[in-house]
Parts: sequence; C-alpha cells; structure tokens
Amino acid sequence: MDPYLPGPTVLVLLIALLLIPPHPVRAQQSSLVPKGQAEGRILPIDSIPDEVGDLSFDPSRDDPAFSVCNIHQVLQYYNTRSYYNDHKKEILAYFLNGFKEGSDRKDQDGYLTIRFIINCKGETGWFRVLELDSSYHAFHFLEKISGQLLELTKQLKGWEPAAYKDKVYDSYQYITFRIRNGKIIRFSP
Amino acid sequence: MRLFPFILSFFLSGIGLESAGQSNCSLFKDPRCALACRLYNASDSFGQGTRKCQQYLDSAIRLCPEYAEAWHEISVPYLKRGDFLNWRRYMDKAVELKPWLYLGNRGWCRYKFLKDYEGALSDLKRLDTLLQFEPGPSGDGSYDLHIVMALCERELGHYPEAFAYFSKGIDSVYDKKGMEWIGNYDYLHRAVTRIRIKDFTRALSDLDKQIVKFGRYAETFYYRGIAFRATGMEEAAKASFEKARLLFTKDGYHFTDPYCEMADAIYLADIEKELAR
Repeated sequence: MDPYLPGPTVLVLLIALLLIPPHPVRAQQSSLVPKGQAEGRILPIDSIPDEVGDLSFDPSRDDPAFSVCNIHQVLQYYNTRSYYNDHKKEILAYFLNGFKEGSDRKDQDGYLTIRFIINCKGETGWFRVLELDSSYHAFHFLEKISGQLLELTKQLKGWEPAAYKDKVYDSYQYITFRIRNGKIIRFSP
Repeated sequence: MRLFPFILSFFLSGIGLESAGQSNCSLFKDPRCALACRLYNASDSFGQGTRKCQQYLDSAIRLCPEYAEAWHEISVPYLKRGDFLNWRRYMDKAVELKPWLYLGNRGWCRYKFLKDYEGALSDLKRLDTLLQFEPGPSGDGSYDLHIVMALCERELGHYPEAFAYFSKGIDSVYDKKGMEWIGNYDYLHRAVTRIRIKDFTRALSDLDKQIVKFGRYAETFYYRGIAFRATGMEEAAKASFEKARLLFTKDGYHFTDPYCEMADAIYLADIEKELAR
C-alpha cells in the first residue's frame, strides 16, 4: 500500500482531531501563512501548507513576472549544495556594504528573516519577512530597516538554482539578520 | 469522549505496522499517552515537515500534552526553514517538560542556526548545572557541549571563559577517556581562539594535535599558515597555505554543513588571498 495515501488510520485521526480541543500553540502559528489569515485566529492544523514553510503567490505583494518551475517540487536549501552556502562571503559583503545604518535605531533589536524562492532559472521571488525581537517574540522592525533589507534581498542577483544529478530545481532559501541597535551584527544560516 | 475507547482500539490496530518504532510505547501508563506515542512513531512514515507528519505530531500533543518528544519533533522543520517564532513556541514546551533532555538541544540550535551566543550560553549553563557538569554532546553529535559553550564565549569576546570551557571539552576528556573521544574539530577551534589573542605558540601546538586527530582539513593548514606568518616563518606559512589549497580543492576536506556555516570554516578565496600576499 502506498504509505502516502490516506488509510483508515488517517480517517480516524481526523475524527480524533475534531474531538480533541485545539492546543493553544496553534493559535499563534502564523508566520508563513498569508498575512491576515493567521493573526489572532486559531488555525486548524489541516490549514498548514503541504510542507512547513511553503510559500504561495500573493498578488498583493509578489511580482507576477516571477514564476516557479514546479510548485510541487521545491527543495529546501539544505537538500542540495546551495549557492548561498558556497557564496556566503560575497553575499554578506553585499549586505554590509549596501545596508545604511541610522542613528535613531537604539531599540531595534532582534532577528529579521527573509525567506524566498530561487526558481530553476536562478531568479528569486515570493519574498516573506519574519521578524522577532531578541527574546524570540513577534516584533516589527522600523520600515527603514525591514524595507531596506527586503529591497537589498530582492536586488541581489547571480543566484544559481539548486542542482542535483545534472537537473535543476526550484528551492527555498532564507537569510536571517541579527540586528542590534539597528545594526547588522551577524548573519545566518 | 465516549468514543475514545473505540478510537484507541482502532488506532492500536492500524498503526503498528507503520510504526518506525523509535519509542517504546508500552512504557506509557496513560492510554492516551501510549496512543500519542504510537502516533509519534507513525509520523515517521511521512517526510519531515509534511502536513501529514505535522498532523500526526499535533494529534500526539493534543492527546498527551506532557509528551515532550512530540513537542520537540514538531518544532524541527520550523527551525530548519527559518521560522524561529514557531520553532520556539514548540521547542520551549519540550524544554519546559524535559529540561534535562532538550535544554542542550535548544542551546545548540540557538548557537548553530541563530548565532544567539548569549541565549545558547544561558541554556547550556543551565543544563551543565542540571547534569552535574556533564552536558553531553550537541544535537548532531559533532561536539561536546562544553566546546559549543567555549565557542559562544569566544564569539562574545570572553576569552578566559572560552578557554575554561575548551579545557573541560578537550583536556578533561583526553585525561579521562583518551584522544579518540576528542571531537574532530576541537583542537582547531581552540587554536583559532589562541590566534585571536595572538598566542601563536600554543595555537601551533593545538594545530599539531589537530593534525594527529585528523590531518586532512584545509582549515588546519590555513590557520597554521596564519600562525607561521604571524611569527615570521614565511616559508613555512606559504607551504602551509599551499597544502590548504590542495586539501580544499583536491584530496582533502573543508568544514561544511548542509544547514549552517561552521565556526572557523574558510573559503577558497581566503587561501588564495593569503597566497597572493
């Protein structure tokens, strides 16, 4: 039997899901779902994407010219050797050179992550920003910080698609900026 | 909840063959938790982070909210995919339930994925005390957690503290168990720390030990070149950088990790730059 087909176990699981009250943590599970869908609302676990972290086209903020080659097979950056891992030094230099710090940002502390897709042609799109304070609580950086980092990420060219056995794939990538007093002090992954 | 015994029996009859058997579910006295354990095991039938896998784990948590392993497991794909808000929401619950089991993992992840050196140290110091100063290995088995603590202290500029943890993670381990128990990267990390404070003699001594431990990392010869050059041994430095390039490009290794850049990892451009001097 194909283990990915729903069997009786899954059907009973779904019955159980209806009987058991949702756990509070799911009410806060919001970061990668479209804006407005999650905030302050309980998300049924079935409403999460096919895979944790999956992105989808949002006409209100995504460039319609960008397309994913195969939405059903978008790799994670760690599934193959990634362009980011091999070129991190240049990428970080690009951000450090391009990012303009301000003197009015003393309270700007935390983690700003930009997640996006590199398609099979090496183009990038569907950028999403996730923001946390230094205690890992939801936070909003000043637009002059988050907007600037988002624009720099969008403008960064030269990406190469994920490749495996001479075939290219779409893939997810993220960059996390550790910000203290409005300055970038570290990068990951 | 009168349907519960029916659901329980249905689950028990259906999941057994699918279970990967990671946990011994017979250890659970509470039938809801035993069922949660079987769901946890069955979640392994699906790819990590897939909706079905997360559904099984979510159900396990709801059946048995004190099941720390399920809280941890459901958190992992969020961590790997950069959603640290949701990672912490699940992971913190695992830590709350079983700090002795998950504090080390959370601390290591904060070090590795977020370079949150202060936060990692906070978790690892708490664990160190909890486990009577034997915190054990990192989540991927690459490091004794004392070495991770040393690296955190180093990155925060606290060198005496860093060396104290290096001593616990290297010298104490060597004295008690021998060279084979020293981590593959440990001597190199301590050597780089010594280079940072310009203690080149001891750095070279640690790099010699690194070569004995494992001599085919390009990093070892790159940093050896740095230490030789800093002490005026230019010919030895050049030979060392050449060896680093050979190991990097042809018949050796360099520090790589599929998820994150490793501490003290170098790039080919670093070696070329030194050779061009």
